[in-house]
Amino acid sequence: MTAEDEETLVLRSLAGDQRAFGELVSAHQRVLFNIAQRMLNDREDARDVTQTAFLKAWQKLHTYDRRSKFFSWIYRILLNEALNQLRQRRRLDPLDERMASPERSPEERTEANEIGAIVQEGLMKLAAEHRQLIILRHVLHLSHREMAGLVNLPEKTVKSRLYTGRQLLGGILRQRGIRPT
Amino acid sequence: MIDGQDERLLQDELEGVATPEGSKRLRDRLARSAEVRARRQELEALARALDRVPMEEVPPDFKEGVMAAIAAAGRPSPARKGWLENPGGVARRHPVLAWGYPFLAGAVAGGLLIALATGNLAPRPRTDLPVSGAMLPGPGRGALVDHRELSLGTARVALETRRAADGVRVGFDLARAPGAELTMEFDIAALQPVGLRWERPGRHRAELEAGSVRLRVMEDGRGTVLLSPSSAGDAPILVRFRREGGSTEAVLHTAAVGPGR
Repeated sequence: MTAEDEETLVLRSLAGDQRAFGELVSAHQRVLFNIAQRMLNDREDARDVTQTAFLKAWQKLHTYDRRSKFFSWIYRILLNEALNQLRQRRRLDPLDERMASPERSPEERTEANEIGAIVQEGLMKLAAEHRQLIILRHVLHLSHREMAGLVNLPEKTVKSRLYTGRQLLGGILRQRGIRPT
Repeated sequence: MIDGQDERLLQDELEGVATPEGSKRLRDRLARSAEVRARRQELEALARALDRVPMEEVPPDFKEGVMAAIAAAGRPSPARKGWLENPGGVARRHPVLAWGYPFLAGAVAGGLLIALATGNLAPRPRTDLPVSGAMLPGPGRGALVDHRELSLGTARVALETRRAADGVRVGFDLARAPGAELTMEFDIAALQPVGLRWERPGRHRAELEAGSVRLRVMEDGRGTVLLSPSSAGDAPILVRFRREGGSTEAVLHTAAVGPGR
């Protein structure tokens, strides 16, 4: 979808055209859902948070500054929703079952070849600021500059946080006897 | 031993952003240190593992859920500038505002405290109030720019904006709204609060945050917020009306809006 197409869809949505907004949903739902899924490690929560982000985007579309990308704007809405969800979890569940996955030996893990699950588990141990950058880099394959634009931070800070996050993630996996191959 | 510099060189290489000098230094380090070589393998393996995390498909009825929710929510408010969503962005684009916020907030908060203590700030004759009981325009009160009526159950608020010689006047008239909250958000680069006057004094409260005025009413309330605009152009105000169990909002324009908006 070109920037012009997106601009047109936003304008039509602002005029109340729900089908136009539906096209924006179709264009961005997969990426946003995956970000939420990686941030929250729960499919149902990811679904709720992503749907809420789209609903808020619809309701607040008049506040969207069309000089920026629609994705950047809705990404920030999504991230806020995801962070709220995480805060709520901390309040409700002192020991979140999603975080306390049953301990298995490294051999069992290797046998199961659960790369996604292993990495996801490690990601959940990171602070959200590190986790989101790792997701943007490795799931969305964004450049440092694109990430900086999205998270509203200087490129240098993004790079440094990404490196730290990856270093911490490597340490967490190593500590648990997991060595990605 | 691996130090911070080795780690940075390795990660730069992994990211494809290493400088020629950095690459050369890393090659030297790799040639001499088994630890650095092992660390490189580890980082590469981690990056591979991260890159192999699969993208998941959205649940099959995901979009239907979104569309049902927006259909229930009604149409979005009219378009306006995006500063309300991100006042921090305004401060970044106009650095002087970054330090201006606290100053302005303090000044206006002080002003509003006076307003609360005295009942009025910059008092004017009662006949000059911009809000009539029916929210109808009156002579000498400035030109009517915009008006909205919001309701939540039986509670309602009628709002209007006028351009007068002394600034932008936002009139509000709350009825059957005990415990309701009315918030007005605006761009502090475009509008500065000057005063607040209650036409019907009562157990009302007013609070100020940067770029917003929040009013809480304990009974019916009517009054005016006076704002000083920095230009003759439109500086939209986002109005939120909240009560227990619900909220609604609207945008009030402060100058005639062209067809392109």
